[in-house]
Amino acid sequence: MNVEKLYQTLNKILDKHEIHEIGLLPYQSTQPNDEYYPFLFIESNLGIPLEYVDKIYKYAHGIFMNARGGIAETKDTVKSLKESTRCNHLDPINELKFIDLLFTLPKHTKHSTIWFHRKWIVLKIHQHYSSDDHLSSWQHEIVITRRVAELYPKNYYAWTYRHWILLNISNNSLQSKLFFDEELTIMKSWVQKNISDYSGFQHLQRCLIRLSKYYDNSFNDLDGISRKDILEKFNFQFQNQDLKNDNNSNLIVLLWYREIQFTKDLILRYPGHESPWYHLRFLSFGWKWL
Amino acid sequence: MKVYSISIYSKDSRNEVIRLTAEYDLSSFGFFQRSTVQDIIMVISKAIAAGTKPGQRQRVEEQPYVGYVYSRSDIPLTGVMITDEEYPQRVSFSVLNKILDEFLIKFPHNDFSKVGTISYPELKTYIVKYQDPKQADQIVKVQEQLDETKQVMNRTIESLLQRGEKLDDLIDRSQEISFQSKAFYKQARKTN
Amino acid sequence: MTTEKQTPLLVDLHVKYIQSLDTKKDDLEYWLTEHLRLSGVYWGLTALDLLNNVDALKKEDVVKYVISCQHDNGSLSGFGGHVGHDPHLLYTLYSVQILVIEDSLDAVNVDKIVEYVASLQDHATGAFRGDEWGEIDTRFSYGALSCLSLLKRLDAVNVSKAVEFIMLCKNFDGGFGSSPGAESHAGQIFCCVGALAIVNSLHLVDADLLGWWLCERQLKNGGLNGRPEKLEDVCYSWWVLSALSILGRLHWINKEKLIEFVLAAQDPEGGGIADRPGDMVDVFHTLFGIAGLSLLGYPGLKLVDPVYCLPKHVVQRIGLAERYHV
Ligand SMILES: CC(C)=CCC/C(C)=C/CC/C(C)=C/CC/C(C)=C/COP(=O)(O)OP(=O)(O)O
Repeated sequence: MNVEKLYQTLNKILDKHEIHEIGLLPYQSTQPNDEYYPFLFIESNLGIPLEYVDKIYKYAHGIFMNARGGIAETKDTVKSLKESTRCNHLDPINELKFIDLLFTLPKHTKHSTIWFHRKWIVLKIHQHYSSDDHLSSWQHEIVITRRVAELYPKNYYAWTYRHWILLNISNNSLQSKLFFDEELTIMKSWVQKNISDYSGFQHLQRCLIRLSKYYDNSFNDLDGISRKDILEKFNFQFQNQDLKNDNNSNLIVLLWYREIQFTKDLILRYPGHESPWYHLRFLSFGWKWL
Repeated sequence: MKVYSISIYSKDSRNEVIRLTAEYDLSSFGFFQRSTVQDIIMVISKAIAAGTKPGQRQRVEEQPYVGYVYSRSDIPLTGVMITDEEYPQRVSFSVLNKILDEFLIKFPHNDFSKVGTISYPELKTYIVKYQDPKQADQIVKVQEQLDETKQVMNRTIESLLQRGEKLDDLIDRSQEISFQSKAFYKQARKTN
Repeated sequence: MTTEKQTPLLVDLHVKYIQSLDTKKDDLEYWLTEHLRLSGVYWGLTALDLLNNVDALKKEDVVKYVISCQHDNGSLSGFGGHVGHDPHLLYTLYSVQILVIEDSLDAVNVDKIVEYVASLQDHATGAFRGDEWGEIDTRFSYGALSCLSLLKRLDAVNVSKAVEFIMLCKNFDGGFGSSPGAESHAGQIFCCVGALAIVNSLHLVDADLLGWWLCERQLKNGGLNGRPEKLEDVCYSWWVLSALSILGRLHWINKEKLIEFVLAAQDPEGGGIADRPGDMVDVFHTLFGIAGLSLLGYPGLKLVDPVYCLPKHVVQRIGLAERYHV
């Protein structure tokens, strides 16, 4: 089959339809007279026969190189995309959709560069909108990481990206408090259903810390410092304020107390898994200084 | 923690294993993979049922799946549950027990030979409900009191197959599996 | 327990396997990994040296190829992953490592490399970017410090700031992640512990706590994983062991079982080592399997340096061995 024809058909599909998922098919299952032959298009899902991937890739690579021939000699796709975005050749929102698609192919979700590129685009888009709209955009980002984590469990970069989303949400509005609350709820049910997923637990830890910070801005991150540092920091706090009368501190204590009970229950319920134990280790580490 | 399928088997007059009913939940797989995974699970489940003697409970591991099988000792009726590696064993066996009990009340034994006529829509609700193992807390408690002593055997799929056959061979010669699924399966094996 | 007779390390086959790598140009795999070509040379060459066969790749060819990957463009004079690819810190590190092995640093303009690496440090945080686009990761902190240390030019960057950033990536379990708050991962731990060793800051590591986490990575079959409840993989025989070795706690894992696991992942026909027994081999896992065996004292292998991931004799030749200590 003629490569150019393949490439055109593929572009036709991409132009006309929203695509949810791409899959590589080890077989050929369409007829030559089908509209999108040899591609398989069902319910917004695009199937590409494996035998053609090779050809298309090389061909697209060639086109791409010619198109940017004048600009520089780079051969790195992601960077070229970025350059094009920067020069307004590509619409950042389409760009995000394109990455959403790439993420349905396993190899790509493991590339830190694509996640980094995504950060870059999201921030770019945010520049054009008022910060009130950002929250819903972050919600979309949560959905994407969730889908990736479902398809490819314990994906390090997807979870790190999700931490980054938390970092970007400001600490000072009731809305963001609701966002953190919801994220915590989602994560509790996630770890219950994915008991061996320590990355999920680790994100749950980020949520706990984020919420604790919401209650008390001076709440320490527990990471990035030695145990001695934490000891000093918290001693200092105990001397300087009366925790018992501080309502928000009680909320923090309650938050962590509940989490410990929750984790103990998980440990009893699902024996033989390391992850909830590591999580308990984290909790007891934090608990000592509350 | 996922339940991929629950299925129920009996034996026909020639002592061959027959599938009475089966339900699947494959939403966690990619769109184009689902039918393949379903085919593979179907064949594995049947092979597991065939390799289990009356009265036995077995746990069969075949990454990334785990099969739990319980075969009743009184009548030829066997339940198979395919889950991921996280789903708790205790819960799996309790669910299988409960389902087989209920199934027997609904269908008297002599109905099994007319395979086509069995309709057991409850299975669909169970595979949804027991995705969350906590839902089984009640029945797990009851079962634990009933029989704590029953042994569970740990097996591999190969040890259940006859004459040193491999899973790949089984899938290759199975007539229940489509050509596409076989191709997909081989592809997945290669790139793993 | 029955002890099945174990296949020994198949030295000759591995040498042949690495030599054959450049001849597979028809594979799709070759196309898709084009940007990894330079790393392949580093992995292959280091493995060959540890196997006492560094000459299996022709020195002139290697050096010529490496030089052809360097850019000549002011502060962008780093190395790309292949001829014509954009410069990146990691490929710059691999190039310097290759040139150090081949004792050919004088073939390149060291000042330009130093300038390139220094340009990637973020002054505010002390972190390093991988390239001009700005991705941040502790892999790059290691890359920069290791590279500059091999060039004896650590003075070109702000070392204490760099250390500060690495310490922000430390977690409660004693491990390190890719960025502040990210999950501890054995690969990132190698990078952070290695980087701290290079700048004499190991006292900042909680060696017992981290050593404990690291030795918990060993699974029943002897193999190591990179984080809790993940699959074992031969490459962690390097990332985990090197960190344990730097921390002086290599004896905290079961060496015999790990050796058994790595050897079982060899391809007894075509040579090479895979991520785990039964899988396809590749040059990345071949190096880290062999380097792991070297740390475990497997007979007949040259010693490897746990900080620089280079043959020890090479690190000694340039006068850097054993400067680090816990
Ligand atoms: C000179 C040397 C030896 C190294 C240069 C510095 C580099 C590139 C170090 C790489 C360290 C490394 C392996 C980091 C890990 C990156 C990461 C978070 C991988 C997660 O990948 P998965 O595929 O999820 O692997 P696991 O399932 O084993 O966790």
